Amino acid sequence: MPSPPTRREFFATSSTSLSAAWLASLAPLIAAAQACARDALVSGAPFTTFTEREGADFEALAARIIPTDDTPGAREAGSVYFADQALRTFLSELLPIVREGLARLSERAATEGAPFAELPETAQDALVGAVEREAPQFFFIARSLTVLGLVTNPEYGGNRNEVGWQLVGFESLHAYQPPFGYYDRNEHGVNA
Amino acid sequence: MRQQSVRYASSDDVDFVVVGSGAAGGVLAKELSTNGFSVVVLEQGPYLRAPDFRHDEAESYFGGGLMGTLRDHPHSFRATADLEATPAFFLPNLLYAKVVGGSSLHFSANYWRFRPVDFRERSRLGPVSGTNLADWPISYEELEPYYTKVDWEIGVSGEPGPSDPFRSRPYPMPPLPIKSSGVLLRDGAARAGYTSQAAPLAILSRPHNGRPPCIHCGLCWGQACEVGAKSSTLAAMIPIAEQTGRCEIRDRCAVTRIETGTDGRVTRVVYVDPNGVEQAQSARAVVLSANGAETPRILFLSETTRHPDGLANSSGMVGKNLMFNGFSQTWGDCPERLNEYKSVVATRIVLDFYDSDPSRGFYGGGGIDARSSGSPLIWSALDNPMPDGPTWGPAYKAQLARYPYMMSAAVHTTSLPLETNTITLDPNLTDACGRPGLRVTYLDHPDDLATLRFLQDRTVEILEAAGADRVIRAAVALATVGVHLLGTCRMGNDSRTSVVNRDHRAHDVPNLFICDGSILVTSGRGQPTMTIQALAFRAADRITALARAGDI
Repeated sequence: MPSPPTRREFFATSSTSLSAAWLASLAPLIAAAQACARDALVSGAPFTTFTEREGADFEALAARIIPTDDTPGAREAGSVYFADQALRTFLSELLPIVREGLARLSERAATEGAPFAELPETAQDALVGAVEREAPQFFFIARSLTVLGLVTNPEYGGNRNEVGWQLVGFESLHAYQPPFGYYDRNEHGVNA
Repeated sequence: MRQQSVRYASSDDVDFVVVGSGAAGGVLAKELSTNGFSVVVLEQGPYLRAPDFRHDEAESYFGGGLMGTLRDHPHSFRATADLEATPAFFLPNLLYAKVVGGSSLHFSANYWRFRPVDFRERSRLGPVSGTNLADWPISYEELEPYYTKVDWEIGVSGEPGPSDPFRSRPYPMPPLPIKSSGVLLRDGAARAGYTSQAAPLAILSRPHNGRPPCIHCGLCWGQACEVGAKSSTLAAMIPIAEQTGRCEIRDRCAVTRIETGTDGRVTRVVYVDPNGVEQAQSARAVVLSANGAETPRILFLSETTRHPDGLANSSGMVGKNLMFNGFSQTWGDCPERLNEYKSVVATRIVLDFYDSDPSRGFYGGGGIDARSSGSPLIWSALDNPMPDGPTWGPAYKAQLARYPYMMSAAVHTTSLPLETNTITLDPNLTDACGRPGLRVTYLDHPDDLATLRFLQDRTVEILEAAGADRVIRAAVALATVGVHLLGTCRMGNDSRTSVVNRDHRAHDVPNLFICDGSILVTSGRGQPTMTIQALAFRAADRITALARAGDI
């Protein structure tokens, strides 16, 4: 039996039948985000929402939240590009909080003598801990954006090469068959 | 293919306008139109079809996919009326879909029947001080034929459990295949001395009524089903209604008020059409099925000198007794992979603690199900971190990687009806079509929290007995998010203490009927949609009988 299509393959074939209502309500926003994400992928990553400084600092912050070790982290997933797109489109109401939080982070880093993105990791970690204590809303939103940039569909700019899905052990297929996991392996009979 | 729908002129005096096309409205549209009546359904959301449903969690939760955006649907929350309400920001306080089919598109389809005891707890247990706990004016026995109609016409899979109430006909199809979480709940419960059963789900396990079975894509939770295996009213009811040639589904039409004549009877339903233009549909009778938050809003907005506190509100009960159902969960981190992101949300349940037991010292009961710890996006991004767990850095990353090894034992419980838990109009918020935003005031009763803690203790026993390496309790916290919106137009025989009678007719307005979660007198044990739909099938029978008798 051929393997089922991945979700992306399935929707690549089905998206031609999108209804007028759907297109009117939402698709332009999604399409714009996808187009920007493609541009970001091919053009060496200009930001559309963040300034260059904000983008570099957000990427460094995301990399401390989900660091790169023996497996890829937020930097390889491109979480900053997800955030850059989302804050301009469907999460735009969060932009003022993120912008303010990044400005405070930048001020703190300046007292250490360098932009946040250029500080040594130990100094960055000290600042991340302080931000979590003193600006919990900004920290929660920054972390949510970072992790959303791992686990959302790659069309939104993050989860590049599906490294986020690999990190959380998620195999993206359009459909699955039992057995689904270890504990139900003997539950479905010989023909399952 | 979309059926060529009948079109009525707004001046046509149609037999019924049904406001809302969700779990209840979709059933009423189908039943009333097949009974020969002309029906216009007004739905504020868009008419999406199966090819529109993408497997895209970001779109569903943030892109306005099924629920619309907070910008278009602003609302606010406060615990008590003396506090200032905080507008919802980033995450909503009220979760429901605004599309044709309503929340039956995005629900996880747990279809537990209520039990006989749910309808008569007040007389059985006595009063609960400071609450409006009351008996229903109808019984389980009266509703049973309609539960069976839901099983067969909507499409419910399952098998009877050891303590199930009487059913007049078997399930039409067997349960969905058990998942790893279901195996662990079943075996853990057995070791802990409890009993489990297959979860009844409004998801097809076999072809039924021309619809295909589940493909186990794993995105029931918050998403619509593009194969039509999930038994939404969009899949199961709306096509039949349209095929009658008597039912028009008018999407993207948000009702702003119901007009009444000098005789106090409903004459027209006023709404904003997709172009932002105000329209009015004449009707002989109106059925409100907009849900427990939207229905009170429409009634408040329909106030007149004759109905100064809102239409159908002489009792003062419109918008009160809001019940969310309690929800809490316990996570199990297991030695082997479960891959709970696959297939339906829950396949096994424990109902040993359904009944309220006075010896516990508090009112309440509930059930437990085994389920995914959340979709990839929700679990990883929003439900994390675990209580007392790492919040960033390498340990946080390692925790995310445990995702396929995690399950949840979730607790679904009663909420007591309180007059202080309400839906009102927010004076500071306006929605996309000019209506005041919804303001939620909600504080759990202490017995509701005690019930959650009691049930959560049982989930810890079960997960430990099942062999989980780590068992992690979610904090039992005051509810700030409503998914089930119940009780705000309660049913009763006494027009001084209830909004609708046993026929769903408003006590104050003879040609206005209400049928959705708002009419529930008690909350059940956390899975209300099966009962809302049984009520809708019954309401359609009652309304049809009244109409044929010339009594509307």
